[in-house]
Amino acid sequence: MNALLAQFIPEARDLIDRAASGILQLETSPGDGAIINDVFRAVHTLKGSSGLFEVGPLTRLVHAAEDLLEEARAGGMELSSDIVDNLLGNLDVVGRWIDALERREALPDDAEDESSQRSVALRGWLAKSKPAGQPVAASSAAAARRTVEWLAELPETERLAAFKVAARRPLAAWRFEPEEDCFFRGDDPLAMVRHAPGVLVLRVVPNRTLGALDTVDPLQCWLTFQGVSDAAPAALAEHFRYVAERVEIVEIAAADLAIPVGARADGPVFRDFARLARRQLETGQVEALSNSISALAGITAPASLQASALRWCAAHLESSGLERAAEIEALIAAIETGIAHRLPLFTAPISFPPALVATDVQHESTLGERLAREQIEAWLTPGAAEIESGRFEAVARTVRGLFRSLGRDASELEPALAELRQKRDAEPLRRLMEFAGGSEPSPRAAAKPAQAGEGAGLPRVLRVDQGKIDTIMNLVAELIVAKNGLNFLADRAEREHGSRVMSREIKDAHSVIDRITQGLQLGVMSVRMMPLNQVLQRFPRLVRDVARALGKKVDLIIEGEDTEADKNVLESLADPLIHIVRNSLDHGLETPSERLELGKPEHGTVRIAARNESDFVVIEVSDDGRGVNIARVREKAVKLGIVTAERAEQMSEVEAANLIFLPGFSTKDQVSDLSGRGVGMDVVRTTVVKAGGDVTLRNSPGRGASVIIRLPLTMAVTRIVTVDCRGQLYGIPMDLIAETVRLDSKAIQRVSNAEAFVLRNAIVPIVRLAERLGLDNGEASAAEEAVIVVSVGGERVGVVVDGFRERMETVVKPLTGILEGASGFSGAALLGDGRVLLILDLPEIL
Amino acid sequence: MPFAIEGARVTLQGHCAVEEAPDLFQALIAIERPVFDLDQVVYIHTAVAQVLIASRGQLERRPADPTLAACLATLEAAR
Repeated sequence: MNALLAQFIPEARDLIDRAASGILQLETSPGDGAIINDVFRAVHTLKGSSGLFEVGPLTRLVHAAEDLLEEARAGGMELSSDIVDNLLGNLDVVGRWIDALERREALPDDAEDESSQRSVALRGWLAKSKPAGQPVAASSAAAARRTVEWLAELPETERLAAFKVAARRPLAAWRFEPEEDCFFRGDDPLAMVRHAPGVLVLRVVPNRTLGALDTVDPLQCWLTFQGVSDAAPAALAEHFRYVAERVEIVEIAAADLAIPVGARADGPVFRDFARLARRQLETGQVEALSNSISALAGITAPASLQASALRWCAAHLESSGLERAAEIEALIAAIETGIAHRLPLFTAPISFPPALVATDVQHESTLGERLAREQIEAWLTPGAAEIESGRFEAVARTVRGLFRSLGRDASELEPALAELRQKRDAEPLRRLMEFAGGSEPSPRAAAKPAQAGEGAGLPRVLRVDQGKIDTIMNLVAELIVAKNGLNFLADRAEREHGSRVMSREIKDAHSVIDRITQGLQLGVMSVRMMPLNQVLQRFPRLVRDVARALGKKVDLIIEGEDTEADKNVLESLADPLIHIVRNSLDHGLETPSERLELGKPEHGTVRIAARNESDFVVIEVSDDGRGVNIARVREKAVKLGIVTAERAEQMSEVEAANLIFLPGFSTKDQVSDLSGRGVGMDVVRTTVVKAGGDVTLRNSPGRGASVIIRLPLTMAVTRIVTVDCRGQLYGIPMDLIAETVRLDSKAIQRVSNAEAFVLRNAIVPIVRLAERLGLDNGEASAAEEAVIVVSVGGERVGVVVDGFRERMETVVKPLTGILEGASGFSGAALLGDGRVLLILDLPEIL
Repeated sequence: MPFAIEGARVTLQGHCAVEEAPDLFQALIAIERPVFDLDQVVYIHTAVAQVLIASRGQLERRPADPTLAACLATLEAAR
């Protein structure tokens, strides 16, 4: 992928996120200037950056949104919920386009249509907010209307010619007033106009009174271009996208060109003509009317207004007979009175209002600066002499484009570029780029030239491909395993070679490597640590949308969004969390009227709280709704055949509540759109358990429920305990283990055909690992049993093994190939002496 | 050089870039009623076109390019 595009994509996503969260805040605190500014800046920067790529529809849609925000910023309109919905929807679309851009470096095929529809909708809001008083046509209700004053100034002959070419097609009238200093940015407005699509009429006028030649500045632009094109306004907007704020484009009909101009002529003949012509018009005598017109034209001074009106009458008749009777009637009136009542020129502005140059916007140019810096570096890299000038042009073009898109003052750019080219001195240009934060050079920047390519004053952030970090992480993990090998070596040195000294030295070396490895592991892990905010920031939006769809009123409280966890953990957390929050909104919270009846506040509360607990990240989603109806859970579980009726009766409240995590369980009979399609909490549990975590439910009927997710901070390195079972080593993840006990075999009680023992006044059921794994059970029970007490799904179970072995940190790899899907094992790890250790999947075995 | 001056007759040809504008401007200040021959012109930069318009000279041979022609119609209007 193009390197610029590769940088643009993550930046665009950040900007979209920032805009979206700002817009949400605006809904609750409308009129907060700081937030509006923030959103506006994000959208403005996105528009500017997108201008560097071939993504016209995206740029136009973002531009329309920017216009709307500009209006809101100026206090011209309030952002209602509907507008917020609309803006958020548009940001979603832009986000989708960015995804598409990442996948195939192009926007989706339907982007053009979608962009124009959405832009029209956005501009519709804008039009509604404008004060009334502008003429409004019945045919197109929402669009703002305005006349194009300067159309009458176009030479009539050219208007007539254009009218004849495109009498039945919609046209676009546009006006381009370049900035005074545009030549310094390398702009050539005339060239831009020359290549504008479908130009039928062009008029170039000075926008000031011209004095004597020597009073004119030859390097200031003072021409304005007015044109009529036989092209879609969107195509023109695309063509002029780099100067969007200086161009106005209005869709017109060919008939709008029919404006009679000239001096008024007097005489009774015009009144007679009008009477006759009206009769002919009413009775549909096209030929007779045409004859009357040419007869009168023959005796009327050609420069008069009447002669002009006659020519337009003839043009109408010729192109469409009497179809445009209203226009012809108006022209007849003009001939009669000698006054041209301008036909209301009803046209929808497609354009970029000229007032859009946002002067007080701080141009955010992180991307821009990076690009410029890269361009400079590219030029300073020595290359073949014969392509030197071409290379320089390419660099200069990009830098100029950059200045343009950032709306920066470019007057010093050309000299700086010249320095760069001639003396290979990049300092002047770097200094120019340093001023990016504002329009004024800061004294610090001016006094101290930037160090080459260092980006002084910017936070130094490195964007690194995640794959590279993962590679380092894998290497660190292997290092940890290799390090474990030293322990085995030390044992061998002592046992087989009888060298206790050697053994001690190896152990010393091991502890040094161990310390470094741990530091390395922590370092790499901290790179992969991301604040939970990444996952949580989507919830304000989600809660708002879902609550609106359900007609509920909900306050969302997010706590601990700074809590950090491994990126993979975060990713595995995202979907379960969404599901849980949706469940809370859908099943947990009551409707506002129900809440009021129950004496609860009308607004329900959903709280997402995250915190660190030793090596775990804990996320608790709680609501103050009706809680889980335990009786119904029992009933349903029995009906679904998940548990027997008597078992259901015996279950404690907590146990029963946790039944909702079992596969195929959903208490709400009516399947809603949002949650509860039968794939409910069981999917949540499966996902979390797969990531090495656990989910529990805490329920207080009538007052709410909380779902608590516990996930390991990192998934890369797992701490395990190895156990011996019939001479074979197995690994058990440390997270599952509550404690290990050695038990007198007499302490084990037989309850019918199951075994159990009492641990601190609680009965803990026992399973024998050898039995569960289908291993030979020949050996009689020893006098003392080694029991590992594990906690699975909130319940404690004792697992009898033959012996405990050492604990270690290791990398658990999933089983692949023919072992894939082997039940009872969650993965395998390499031991320090080269043996393969199978990791038990206890939740499945039990 | 893309422009040549013989007395009051100023002939432009080929591509006239923005760099020509200051030179042409200086040259035209010295000529009272310039006459322009532009039929050899392929393209002129906006800045050059502006100098021509501001000089209020007389356009004798028009450029072939319709955009340039439309632009220089202003020259005639300015006179």
